[in-house]
Formats: sequence, C-alpha cells, structure tokens
Amino acid sequence: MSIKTSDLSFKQRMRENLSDSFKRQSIAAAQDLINQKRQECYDKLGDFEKWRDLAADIRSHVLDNLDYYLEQFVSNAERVGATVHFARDAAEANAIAREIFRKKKATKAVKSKSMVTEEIGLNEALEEIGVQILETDLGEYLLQVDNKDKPSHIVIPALHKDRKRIRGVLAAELGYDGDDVPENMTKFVRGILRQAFLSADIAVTGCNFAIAETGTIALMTNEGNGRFVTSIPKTHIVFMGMERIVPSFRELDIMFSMLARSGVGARTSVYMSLITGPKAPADVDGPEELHIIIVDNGRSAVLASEFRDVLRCIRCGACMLECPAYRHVSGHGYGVLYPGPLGAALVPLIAGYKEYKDITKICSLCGACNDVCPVKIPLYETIYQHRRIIVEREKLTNRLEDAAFSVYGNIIGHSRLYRAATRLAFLGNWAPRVSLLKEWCKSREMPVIQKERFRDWFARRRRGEA
Amino acid sequence: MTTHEFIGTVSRALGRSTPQAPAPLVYRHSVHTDVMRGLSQDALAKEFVDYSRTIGAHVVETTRSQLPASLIQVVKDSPAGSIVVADDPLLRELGIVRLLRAIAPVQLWDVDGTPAENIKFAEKARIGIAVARMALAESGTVLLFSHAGTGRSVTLLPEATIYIIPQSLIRPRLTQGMAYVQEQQNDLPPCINFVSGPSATSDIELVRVVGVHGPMHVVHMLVTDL
Repeated sequence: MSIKTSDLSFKQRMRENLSDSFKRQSIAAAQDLINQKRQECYDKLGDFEKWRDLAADIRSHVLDNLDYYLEQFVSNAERVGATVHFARDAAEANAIAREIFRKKKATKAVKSKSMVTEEIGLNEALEEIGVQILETDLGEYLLQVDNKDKPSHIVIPALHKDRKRIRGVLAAELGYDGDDVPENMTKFVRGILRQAFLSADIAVTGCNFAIAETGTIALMTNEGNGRFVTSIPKTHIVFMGMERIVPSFRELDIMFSMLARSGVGARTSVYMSLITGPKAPADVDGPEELHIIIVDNGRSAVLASEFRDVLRCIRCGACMLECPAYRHVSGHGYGVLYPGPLGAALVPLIAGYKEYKDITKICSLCGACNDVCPVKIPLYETIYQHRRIIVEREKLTNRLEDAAFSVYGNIIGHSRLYRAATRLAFLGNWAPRVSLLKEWCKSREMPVIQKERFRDWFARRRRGEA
Repeated sequence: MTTHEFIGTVSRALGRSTPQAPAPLVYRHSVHTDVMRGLSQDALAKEFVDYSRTIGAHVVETTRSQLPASLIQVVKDSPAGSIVVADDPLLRELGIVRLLRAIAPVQLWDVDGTPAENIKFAEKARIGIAVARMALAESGTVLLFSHAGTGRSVTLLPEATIYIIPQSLIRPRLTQGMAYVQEQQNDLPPCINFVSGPSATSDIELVRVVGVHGPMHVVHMLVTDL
C-alpha cells in the first residue's frame, strides 16, 4: 500500500461508500461503542483536560527539539547494539529494507501492524524481490488474505467486514471449514500464524514511541503479535517515523496512558513491550540483530511549516471515531491511508495539495475532533487553513467553481447588481435540478425562495403596511 | 544517508544549523502521580485483584507457605500438559520444578541451552510460569523483565501463563512502573513487557476474543506475605 489506497475518483468514492449500508452501520456502531468506552475510561481517570495538556506539552516539546532528541536516540540505540538507518523518503526506506533481506538471504517475514510501513508501500517492495511478508495483526491479516483489501480504520482495519464475509474468505483462501463464530475463526488463524512466526527469517514492526534517553523502541499491542515478532525471528527491523520520539520513560507513561484510552477505550493495551537493542549474551531467545530505519518521508517539511502541530499525532484514531463525516463515508471514502480529520490535516502536507485537495472537503468543520484529540492538535483549523491555501496559494479550484465565485463576488461587491440579483433570485425556484444542484438535492430539500425579499417586507412593516 | 545529514535536515527545518540542548520539560499538572496516592498496600492489592478479574485474568490469593499447594492446584485446573518454568531465584528457592515434576513434565528455561531447544519445549508446553518484577493496580498489569532466565517465550508460547506476584510489589499505575524502568536505565534488559491479562482482539465485528497469538489463560497468583 502507499498513502493513496484507491484509484476511484472522489465522487465515485463518495457514491460507493454512501450506498454501502452494511459498512455505514458497522462504522456507526463502532463509533458509538468505542466512543462510549473511551468516555467511561477518561471519566474514571478524571481530569482529561489536564492529561491532554501534559500529552500535548510533551509532543510539542519533542517536536521543537526533535534534532536534539533524535541525535540522542540514535547514539543510545547504537550504544545498545542496534543498527540505525536513515531514509529521506519511501524509496530509500524500502531500499534499505531490501538490502537487509538480501544480506540475510531472507525470504519469509512476519509483520506486526505498522502505519509507516504502509505509508512507504513496504509489502509491495519486498514482494517484488520474492519475499513473502505476512501481516500478523488479525484485522490486517484478514484484509491481506481478502485479495489485499484496504483498511477502513487505522486501529481497527477490518471494521467494514462482517463475520460472514470473513468466513467466506477464510474458506476460499485457506480451506477453513468451520462456522462464522469470531472465536473459532480467530483460533483457526492463530494456528496458521503461529507456524509463520516460528519459521520467519525476519520480523518487521513499527514503533509507537522511541525513548531518546535509552535508545528503546516501545510497542503497544493487544494480540501478542508484537511480542511474537520480537521473540522468535533472528532479525528484527523497526520502521520508525522520525517524530515518534519521547525524551524518557517518564513521558512514555503519559503517552501510553493516552494512547490506550483514546485508541480503543481501554486503560492499557494487553502488551506494552520495551525493546532496547538486540538480545543480550545472557538471553536465549530474541533477535540477534536489530535494525531501526528512521523515516522522514515529508515530515521535515511539515516540521518547518506552520503545521508543525499535526506531527504531535500519536495515531490513536479517536478523531475519526468522533467524526460525523467519517461515520458516513468510512476510511474508504478518503481513499488514503490516514483517513478522518487526521488524514485531511496530514495527507495534503506529506503528499501534496494537488492530488489530495479533495479530502479536505470531507469535513464540516464542526470541531468534534479537536475536543477528543489526546494531544490537542488543532485539526479543523488545519483543514480550514488547507482549504484557503488550496484556493489562494495553490489555485487548485476548478473552472466552474471559479466562475461561480467570481459571479458571486461581483454581485456581493456591487449594490446595484446585488439589488437586481436578490429581486430576481426567486427565478431560481424554476432552475432545473441538474449537475451540482442534483447532487445537492439528493439528501436535502431545496428551499423555496420567496418573491418578496426580507428587506422589502421589513420596509413595508416599518411603514405599517405589513 | 548519514546521521549527520539526517539530523542536519531536521535542524534546518527547526531553523538552526545544529541541535541545541532543550530547556527542561516542565509538567504543568501532577494528575499522573495523583492516581491512588496514599492508598495502603492492601487497598492497592484489592484494586489490582478487581481489575485483573475485569480483564479476564484468574486471581488466586495465597501466602508464601501455601504457595506450593496453591500452585499445584492451579496447575491441575489449567490445561493438562508440560510446563516451562522461568529460571528465577524465587522459584528456585521454593523448589517449584521438583514440586511440579510430580504432576507434569516440567522444564526449567535453560540459559545454557540453544534457542531452538528452548523454544521447541516452550512451544509444546501448555503452561508457563514466571515471577513479576512489579504489578500495577490501576490496570491489572504485570511487569516482566523478559531476560536471561525469564526467556521471552516462557510467557508467550504456552496457552496459559501463571504469574507469581508478591503483594508488596503492587504499585498504583504505569507512572510507577515506568519510574522503576527508568531507575534501571543504565542496565536495561533488552526486552521488558507490561502484560495485562490474556492476549485479546476485537478485530471481527468488535467482538472481544481472547487468545490470539499469546496466552489464552492468565493466572495472577498474589502472594500476600511476600
């Protein structure tokens, strides 16, 4: 995968996802359930606003001093025996990974869910050189075996599939002959993936946080795949977005406390693993080699821009679970790896306004995302600002839109034209329902424009006539 | 690309030529240290037990003298099969291996053995036994140093894990857990795990399913006088 996950046009994506009633129901149910759990979790903890002050302060402090903390992290990671690599972009990151696979003559890899590897399209890059790479997060695995279907949420990727569909895929692709009870299907997959873990040459993971003071990689998982891949294969490759740093374990406490609650509405994940270098001489199991690939891929440009705050993101997905637009179009509507408010704020920055201007339109600027973001990213303000830039600086509007706004600008800027136009506005009642109007009227009723304008009625009233 | 080039790009993005030591990070609030502040050890233990049960761990409370008998009972109640035991001073002192050999095939994690042999045994074992470094009341969490005698596989491959938890080591929350890890930072083991209950997923229709890749059964054996 890469940042772009769909070849359909914006309109096609909207139409397809809005007409998928199963998907819409699943997303709505998931939002309601997880949002409620998250609320209960934070109610129990108390002082949500203070917690997120701390989390936002930590992330901002790190970003403002990212060069210092990165340097510290790298020197400590190397001190404990990790090999650190740097990648300016996706191509460099993939090339480094391929080189490691070649050197190790590795053909089988297992991967624990990682957004940055999806961002750079690692799976495809490895498959091209004949490496079989298996997703081990249950949701990601179910997508992978279903003809590489795309995730609809960053934490719960297979949210859009029901048990019947999953059963069908397991039966067709893997010869599963059981029923569609989630426990039984999970048990079946457990058996398959266990063999994969035990026979893999290389493990690939992401990195939730990296601890500068010790060179440690911190991973948060629930299923245990994060532990598996860091226990059995002899080589472990970590892909790390360069902004994933926290100064010390003290800050990791705050970040993990927020990530589990905001991500899935739990006090903690089942596993939090802290990996500091490859296995020690006293250890029997664990990887002999640990490679850490630190990826920029557009992040340094964001760091330098007015949108630095967007890099505070800890990938919890709470903004999308709170978003009323996401509720209807789902992650697939965005057609990008990072959907929802975060996607609309981040993707145009790391992948360009030109191709991704449309996703900023999937937002009603209601601000619900801001209220739940655990690191207080000004999400809707960022999206609003993107829209301004798209029009004013990038000039990426279409001709029809330009023409419409120029007519509107003329009318609003000239009092005579304004008077004439408002007097004749009622003629719009007979306008044919075509093109833009037709789209708009699909889910709304066109208001009837009165013949008499408010200002005329008001003047009449003042004269005592109405 | 070299470290120098990469860091240089980041410095330039921040408007400087080289990294500068930051001003200290100031915490505006103390909400994290306020959780369960002032609770007695017994009260913390109660919180730990309650939340362990909430997340699906089985809790057994015992005393040091009763531990062998309790452990035999727990093993009898667990899936029948072989057992892999962490090579830990406390478990050695209690003679756990000898004790359990009376009822099941037992192997100590062999620090002098090969990875293949150790992993093979652990993979076949139905139960793994390890000792907690600390436990966290708020989240029913066990802190493990998966290092040396406590191999990573001991608490990962068998379908059940039994954690021996001295009650005196229960602390309020992750804040204290991370502080403990930070204290050891000059001699950190390569793998530390905070484990909260059995392995779980909600990836199919958000239905919680226990036991994906890791253990399906987790027992917290709380030793009240240790």
